[in-house]
Formats: sequence, C-alpha cells, structure tokens
Amino acid sequence: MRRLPILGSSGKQYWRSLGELQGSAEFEASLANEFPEGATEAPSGVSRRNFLSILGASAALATLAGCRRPEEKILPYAKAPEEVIPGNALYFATALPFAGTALGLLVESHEGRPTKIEGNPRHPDSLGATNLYAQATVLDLYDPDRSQHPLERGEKRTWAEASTFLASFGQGLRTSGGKGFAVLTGAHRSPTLAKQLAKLQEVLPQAKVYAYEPLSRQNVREGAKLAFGKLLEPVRDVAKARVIAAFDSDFLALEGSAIKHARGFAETRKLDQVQDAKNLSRLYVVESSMTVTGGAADHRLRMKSGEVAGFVFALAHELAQSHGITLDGDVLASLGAAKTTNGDKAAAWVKALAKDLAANKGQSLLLAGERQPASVHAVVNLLNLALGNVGATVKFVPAFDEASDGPESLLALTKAIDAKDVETLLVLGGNPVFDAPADAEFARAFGSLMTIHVGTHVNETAAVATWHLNQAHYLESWGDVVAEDGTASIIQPLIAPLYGGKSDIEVVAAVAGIQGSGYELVRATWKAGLLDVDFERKWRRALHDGFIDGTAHRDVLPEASTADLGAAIKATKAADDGFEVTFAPDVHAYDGRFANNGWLQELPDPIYKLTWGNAALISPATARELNVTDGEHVTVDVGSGRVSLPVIVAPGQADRSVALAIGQGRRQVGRVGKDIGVDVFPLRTSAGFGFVSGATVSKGPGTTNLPRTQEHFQMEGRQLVRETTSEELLADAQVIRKMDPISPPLLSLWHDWEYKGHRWGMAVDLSTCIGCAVCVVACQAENNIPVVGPDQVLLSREMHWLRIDRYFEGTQDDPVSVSQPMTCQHCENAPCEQVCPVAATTHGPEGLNDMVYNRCIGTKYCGNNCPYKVRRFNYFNFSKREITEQRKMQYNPDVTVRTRGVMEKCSFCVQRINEAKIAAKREGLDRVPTDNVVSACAQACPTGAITFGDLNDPNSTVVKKLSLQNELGYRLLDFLNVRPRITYLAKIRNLNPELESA
Amino acid sequence: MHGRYIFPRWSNRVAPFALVGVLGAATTAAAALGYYGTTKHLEVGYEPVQPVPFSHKLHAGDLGMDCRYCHSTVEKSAFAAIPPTQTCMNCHDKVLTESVKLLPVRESAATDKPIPWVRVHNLPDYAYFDHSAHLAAGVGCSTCHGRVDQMVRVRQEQPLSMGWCLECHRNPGPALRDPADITKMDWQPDPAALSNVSFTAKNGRELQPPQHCSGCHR
Repeated sequence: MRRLPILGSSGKQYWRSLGELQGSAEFEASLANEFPEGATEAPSGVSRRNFLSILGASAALATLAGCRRPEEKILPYAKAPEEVIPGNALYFATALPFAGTALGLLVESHEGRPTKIEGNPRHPDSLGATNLYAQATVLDLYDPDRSQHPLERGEKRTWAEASTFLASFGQGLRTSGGKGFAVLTGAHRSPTLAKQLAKLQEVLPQAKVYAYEPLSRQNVREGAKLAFGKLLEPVRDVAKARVIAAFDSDFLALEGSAIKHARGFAETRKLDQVQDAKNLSRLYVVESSMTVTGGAADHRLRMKSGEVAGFVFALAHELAQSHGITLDGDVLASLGAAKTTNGDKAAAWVKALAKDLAANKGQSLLLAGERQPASVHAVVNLLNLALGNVGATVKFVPAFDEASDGPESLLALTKAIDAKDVETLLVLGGNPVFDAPADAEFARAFGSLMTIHVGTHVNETAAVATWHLNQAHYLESWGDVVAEDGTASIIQPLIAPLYGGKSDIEVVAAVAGIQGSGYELVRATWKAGLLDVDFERKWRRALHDGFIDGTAHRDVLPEASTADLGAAIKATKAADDGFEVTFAPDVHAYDGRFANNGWLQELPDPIYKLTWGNAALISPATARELNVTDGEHVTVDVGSGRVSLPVIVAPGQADRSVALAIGQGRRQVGRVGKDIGVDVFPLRTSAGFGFVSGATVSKGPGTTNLPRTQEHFQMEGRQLVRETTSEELLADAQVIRKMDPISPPLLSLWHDWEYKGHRWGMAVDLSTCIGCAVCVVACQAENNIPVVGPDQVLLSREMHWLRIDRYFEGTQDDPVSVSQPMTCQHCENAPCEQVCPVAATTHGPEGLNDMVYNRCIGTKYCGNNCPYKVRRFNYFNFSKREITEQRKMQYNPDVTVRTRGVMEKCSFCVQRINEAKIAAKREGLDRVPTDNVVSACAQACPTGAITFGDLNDPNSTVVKKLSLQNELGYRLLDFLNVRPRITYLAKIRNLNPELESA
Repeated sequence: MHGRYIFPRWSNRVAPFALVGVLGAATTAAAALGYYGTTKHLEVGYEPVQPVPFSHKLHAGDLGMDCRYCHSTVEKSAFAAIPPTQTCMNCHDKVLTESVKLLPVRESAATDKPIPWVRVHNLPDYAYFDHSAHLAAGVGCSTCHGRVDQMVRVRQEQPLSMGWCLECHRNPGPALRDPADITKMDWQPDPAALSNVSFTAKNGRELQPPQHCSGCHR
C-alpha cells in the first residue's frame, strides 16, 4: 500500500478488511477509484440508453406542465385541537416494550403525525437515548405492508365482522369453561395484559396460557433460581463497576437494558483530566463472535460459546481456591469437575481475571450472555454475590411474572395440541410458525387447529391462521409496560390506528367478555392499582412524565441457595472439537419482526458492515480449513436440519464456531424484506437454542455478492483513529500529540473566517463510542435519507450521511477494533466549496458547510474533492421510487426531500439550529441559550460519545468535552489544511499488564 | 440550360441572414424569458377565486379586525395559519346566519370537514420562510402582503423571489417598525430610514438577517 511520507505513526497498523491487510490486488485497484466498478451503471431492468429516453420523455412533459401555476389548497382544521400550532412540533411521552424491559420515549409529532422517536431523559432505561429498533419503529408504523384488515382464512373481513366473531367465540368458550382453549403470548411486561389474561382464566378456568419468545431470557431467570432459590431478575449498574467481565454477552448493544448499560460504561470511561486515566474501568470480554461489546473491550478472548461455561467454572474455581471466595462445597466440587480451559491463553486469563476481580470486590461486575445455560448464569450470580457486587453493581428485583417463555413452553404446547388438550389457540403477536424451535414442529401442530393470530403484519403465522386480526402498533394504542427495574410507563398513542387495528389487550378483553376500550382498560388497571388516590392528577402526571414515579422495585437481597446447582453444573455440556453453531439476533431484523424495515436492513452492522441480510461468520482459520472466501456458500448441518448460506470471513471469530443471525429469510413478508437473507431457524432446536455443537459445515454450491460497505470509502491508511493506553497516557500526557503528522507550515490562500455569533462544532469521544450505529438510524430518520436497496449498496450508493468506520488492529485471527463515526467535517477551508461551479455548497457565518439542493446541478466535483468521502449523490430519485402515501407521513417537514441528481451530506442538523435560533429571536434573545441545539446523532447516542454545540459558548457541553483537546484531541487529515470542525478524542484503553503479553 | 435547376445567386445570402435572424430571435426569446419569466411578472397579481367569498377589505379594513384575530399562530410559528372554521363561527353563528355565501362555512362547521382555501402566497418547498422570526424583528404584514385591508379578494403583491428577499435582508432598515405597529396596514417607512442600513430592531435587539444559504434552505 502506498503511504505518504508525512504520515505520523503510533506503531500500529489499522486495517478495515482482510483485503486491505493482505494487500490484495482488487483492494489496491479499488483505492484509486472513489466508487467501485459499475457505480455509474443504471440499476438492473432499465438499461442506460433506455433510461435516457425515459428521462427525455419526462423532461418534455415537465416543460409543458411547468407553464401552469399549480393550484395548492390549504386545509385548516374545522375545529382546531387545543395544543396544535401548525408548523410547531409537539412531543408526547410513551414507551416501547423491548427485550425484557421498556424504553421510555418522547415522540415528535407534526400535526398528528409521529415523525421521530427520541429517548425520554427521565426514564431509567432510556436516559434520553434510544436503540436502533426504537428509532426504526416509526418507519414500521407507516409500513405500507402492514396488515390492514382482519382476515378469515385469507379472505378480507371488516372489524365489525371480526368483532362479532370474537364476541360469539368468547361466548362459546364461556359456556364450555374454556376447555381446549389456549393463549400464546410473547414475553410481555404489561400489567393490564396480565390482568386481562388473569380475568380470562377466571371466566375460562380450563384455558391455558403459554408464552414463547425466540430471544428468550429464560436462562437468566433460571440462573437466578439456581443460585438464589427464587425467580429474580438482575438489574445492573455498570457505572459503579471498575472491573467488568462479560461472558458471551452483548450487554452494551442487544441484551437487556443495553442503553442503560452503555451509559454506565461510558461514565466509567470518561476523562475530565489526564489523571482520571487512573480510574478507568476495565472491560474483559469472552465471546465467540465479535460483538459491539467485544469491540469496546480492553481485553477480548475469543472462544467457542460452548467453551464459555468451562471457562466461567474455572474462573469461579480459581477465585475460590486462590482468592478466598467462599462457595458451597458441593458447588465447588462440581466446578472442579466441570472446569475446562482450552489453551494457555485461556488459563492465563483465568488467573489474571480472578486476581483483578478479587482486587475490586464490591466494584466489579460479571455478566453472562442470554444464550448461555442457566448454570453459567447461576455461577456468575454466586460470584457477584461472593465478590460483594450484589447491591452495588448489580441488584436483584422480583421477576415480572412466573411464566416461562423458553423453547420448552412451545414443546409443551405442541404436546398439548397433539394430545387434543388444545383445540383452539389465540396467538397474541409474535410469529411462532416462523421462529419456533425446529424440534417443536409447531407449524405442523398449528395447522391442525382453529387459530386466531393478532399481529401488525401478515407474517408466516398469520398466513396459516384461521383468523388474523390486524393489531394496532404501539404508537397507535393504549397500553402499559414495566421496565427491568420495575418502573412502569403508560403507553399512550400518538395517532389513531391507521387501519382500525386493535391492541392485544382489547382482543383478550373481547374474548373474556370484558367491556371497554384499551384506554378504559389501562385506566382501570391503574385506578385499581398504584394510582388509586387522586387518580386523575396522577394519571395526567404519568402521561406527561412518561413513567410512574416511585414504581421502581426495591432490590431484594438474595442469599445463596444452591441445592440444585451442583448437578446443573455437572450437566452442563462441555464443548467438543467439532463445529459449533451459535444463534444471535440479527442486527437488521432482530428476531424477524423488523425484516420489512428499510432503515434497519440498510444499516451496516456495527462490526462486519453487512447490509440487507445475514451471513455465516467464520474465522479466517476456519475459512482456510473449509476453503471458502467471503460470499461463498457453506452448508451447515446440525443433524435435525441443514441450511446453506454465504459466509463472511470474520476477524475475531472463534475457530470452528459458526455465528448465525436469526430473523432473516422471512417467507411471508412485505416488499422490503422479500428474498432477503437466509432463514436459520431450521437449525435451531430446543436443546440447541443458544448454540449447538457437533455441526457439520462444508463448502456448498453457490456464491452471493454480499452488500457490505466494508471496503468502500477508503482513507488510504492514514492516522485516522488514534488510541493509547491509560498507562502510556499517565506516563506522558502528550502521547497522542506525538502521533501528529510531521506537517509543513500550513498557509492558506483564503482569509480566515471570523465567527462573531455562534460557531457550531462537534466532538467525538472514541473512548466511549462503542460503534452501536444508533446515530446512523437517528440521522436517517431526522433527515429524510432514502433507502436505496441492496443492488445500490453493492454499487456504493448508500445515502447515509453519517457512517461508522470500523478499524481493526492486530492479527486477523484476533484483532481489536475501534469504531469511528464519520460525517461531514464542516471544514474551514472546505475543498468542496472551492470546486463547486454553481456555488451550491458554501460556507455559512456560523461555520456550517451549507448544501443547497435547489442550486446543485450534480457535477459531483465536491464529492471527488472531499478527502473524507462523506458526500452522497442521488443517482436516482430514491425518494420517489415506491414511496407510498403512508411512507410520506414519516418525512420530517423541516428538511427538504431531495431529488435525483443532487449531492447531499450532513448539515449538522441545520433545521434544528434554525429552529432554536428562531425560538431565541421570538423571545428577544441575542443568542441561542447554551445547549439548546442538539443534533439527531448526539441526541440518540446511548453513551454520549457524540457531543454537539456552540464552540463560542464557554459553558456548552461540547466545549467542556473538549477540555482535554490539547492532550487527546485531533482532527482528521490535519495536514491537508482543510481544518475540519469535528474534533476526535483519542481512544484510551485500560490494559491489564498481566495480560498484555498473553 | 441547367438554369432552372440552379438556385439564384441571392440564395447564397439566405443562410447568413437566417443565422443572424435565428440568433436574434433566440436572444430576444431568452431575454424575454429571463425578464418576463420571473415571479415578478408571473406571480404578482395572482388572485384566485376562493371557495368562500371572504373579504379582507370588510373584515380587516372596514371592521378593523386585527390580522392576528384569525391568523393567530403568526407570532408563534413559521406559518400564519388559516383559521379553523370555528374562528369564523365565533361571530357567524350570530351574524348572517342565513347567508348563502357562508353556506360552505356552516357546512364545514357541521361536518367537521375543512374549507379548501386556495393558497395565494406560495414559496417553493425548499425555502423555509418563518413568519414568527420576521414579526419578532419588526417586519409588519403589509411589507410583504400589501394593503390586504383594501383587497376584497386577496392578491399577491410582491414577487416573493429570492432576490426580493435578499434586498431586504441586506438592508432591513426601511422595513422595520415598532412591534406595536406590526399589523398596522397604513404604516409607511420613515423617509429618513430609507437611506440608512440598519441592523437594529426598534426594540433594540441586534438583527442578523441571514444572507447565507442555510438561513432559508435546509
């Protein structure tokens, strides 16, 4: 690779793909081109010539149509709602039930249309930030492929007909006492739904209720039962931890209260002064495939998911043997028998980690992944208890309910169906026909029943159900939900149901013969519950705040009660030498429910940058063993099922472990998710629900051109990410400064800009950026960024204004990773401004690099001259293709929707800046008050790694964040003298000296 | 002998003359389009027929109602919203309750369906004009909308082109008035103010009328 002589060096070589590391010929050739081969070709179906003729025809029509002034109508309200001022957004608090907790949200609403989701700063589980899925749910609301009416055996029915059916159906059940009737729910946490189900069982004493969740947290609950003798759920306070050890757990991005965890983790990694480097937390991660959490780790040990149990047992054993941790005798003996460490490195890890944990009693935290068996969770719980962490970094609260939602409950249901104990089944949400474990044979059993499915989409389950009832989206219906720590929120609708759907609460009530709308039912629950005294005032307060104050559980102080644990440890299967298959939620589709969401499908996953679909992740060594490369197919056979899918050669993946993402390859899905990805549920059985060993993996026929953004947007190996260790920083505060490139004196042909008013700028702290990519989706939602589809991503035409560059460092088998958010740098001497022939991109008086779409003629000179490759060109009218009326309702009315042929890029959310400035003017202020503008990316960021504000305001958060800019700050490609506006703060890792050599 | 098959001599001059003629016509056409194809000529004077023959002259002029009685959001929002039917009915459920002209209004109030007013002042979607910012600075209604109090049917008075906007943004002085006079229709700029370039509002706040692109385009 070519390297410029002026480059500085940190002695580390960063690379972003295996092609780059190995210097492959294709990669070298790709460096010279901004866009890959074929990027100027038209999409398939329309040849270039044919396309030009279409273009010619539409141009002619446009000229004729342009002669007449279009008549536009203004339709005011007949009766205006009290709070609505046309043009001004309103914000309402609500909550999203998600992954065993609730996210408190503030939803932006324009004249009754919810358009953007933000976190509720006062809610304990969202803390003002959001996750990927919360951001994307607003697109789901307007999904034109949503189920729009009830169906009876595939025939359209009206809700009047469906209601009549439900009433007579309920009547029939009540006369028979509910014999042969069962309800299947997801892992809900709604007090009102729980109450309706309890009432249903009162009137139908023989009815059964089952629960199933494809990403079940049953192991976590059972782990608490094994350790403490009762059902408890852990609530972590990562901010209090100095040493964190995660075992196959992606707790920063996908498991449990990930936002809260990430915020806590960031708290422990913040530097206000150089001396704070002494107090940084240290994160150890043991996992099979690289996750966001693994990428953020100080030390990462890759091992098969199946080996993690043995490792945790060895760690517990070591802590008991050498560090005076007291464990029950039977448990200790079982640990001694079941412990395994594969290799010297793992053995060294056990010693070092045990020592570090023992030295930080009361401020360490151990976490096990949700797919790890209950025995691992139990041992982790016992270690947390013995290390004095319970009550400090982790507390335990009573479980929401006793229901088991693991694969066993579906097995039990199928068995009951086969025994004719269940003859009619009501499925509340979910998609069990698609996501049931293969050995449950649920689809077959389901087909033999009279079934009612309630869901927002006509999915695989709805398609074969006797009745399908279209469910209201959570933004359309009343409900309630309890967060992980017990904090309750009322879910209030932002819009009336678009297609007249009903919520699950309403359907259950209808079957049970309970009168009342969802609103009345939710109010009744709380009137009879915690809000009984002074109800109306408290209810309004709860709706306003987004949560009910004082509902958080007091923690239970558990005691070890390990009667069954010894046996469970001995029964935990040890890994073998063969191939292992692991199952994880797909970043795009989650468990399949978001498969039809364009924003999520097009989001490059945080580590391997795959968009639109899933692939099998295998390590480079395994790829050599199987003789496959990126995109070639492998056949994975676990005995009970086999699946063929493309591979990604994944640096950091454990050898002989194949990571699969569930939820893609949906068969009954809308236009977005059609033919995307591969369904891996045929491989997932109740016994191998999290991972399974003993698989056969072989090279299969076929290749897929995977739409990855990995090798696009090269930066030719310059010093773009900088990192050091806390030790080095403490020894020499200038260690990052010394990485500055040796640059000639930088003279400019232009006069410096003078900023009298505001000077907007951004700081990005790489120490706390975990690369979770929430900012990318938030930006897409805020700025009307189009979705282009997999074919266009392959041509490097994705339109994201903000991307996350992920760099690997180290060997390809076992690298560490750094994530770097990258967007328009709003340069002082912006190279784009200087080459635009029509002045469509210019410098604003507050330092913004303005982009004027209506002036742009699409020469793309600016994109060619941008050293950061952050400008995006609209090759087609992406915002017009297949845009339905529903989809348009999501658009942010404060941002122009761009058309074909114009450039676009990050505007620093200029619409938010202007809104704040105009608000200040209305109030007669000279300046925008401190921190009154926050960009969409900074607002969504769970860790606060991105801060935005006025650099001319000494009190602003961004200025405070930059207090260490002389030591840690750097600007990208400084030697070009483009003087970027975004300052990056170098990443600081806190290494354990004992493990550095290991 | 071949004479009748040969073009006459003068025909040699047709091409250059035609060229000059075509070029001239093209130049004239371009110049005409450039001059007459602007909003100043195409849009000023636009006066569409409205579904209800509402007279601003009667309400704002003769009766002297303040603009903000109906356009109540003008100080709070980017839009000076057309009032809801409710606002009309505040008076008209007592006044002229039998009027045929008001039939659409009563219909709208009864059926909760909006009255489809025709938009007169229409900016392109990529221009984000904000009424409240202009009022806060002391730019009054009549500066851009003309003497609406004398219009029976509302008509566009100003070109609303970017050049026209910028003229004022570069020299806001003559357009600024005391905030108390915002809706005063017969307000005239102080002749002394016409020549001075002022960036201070009458309430003393320093004005920063944006002249950069993202001031209006986002």
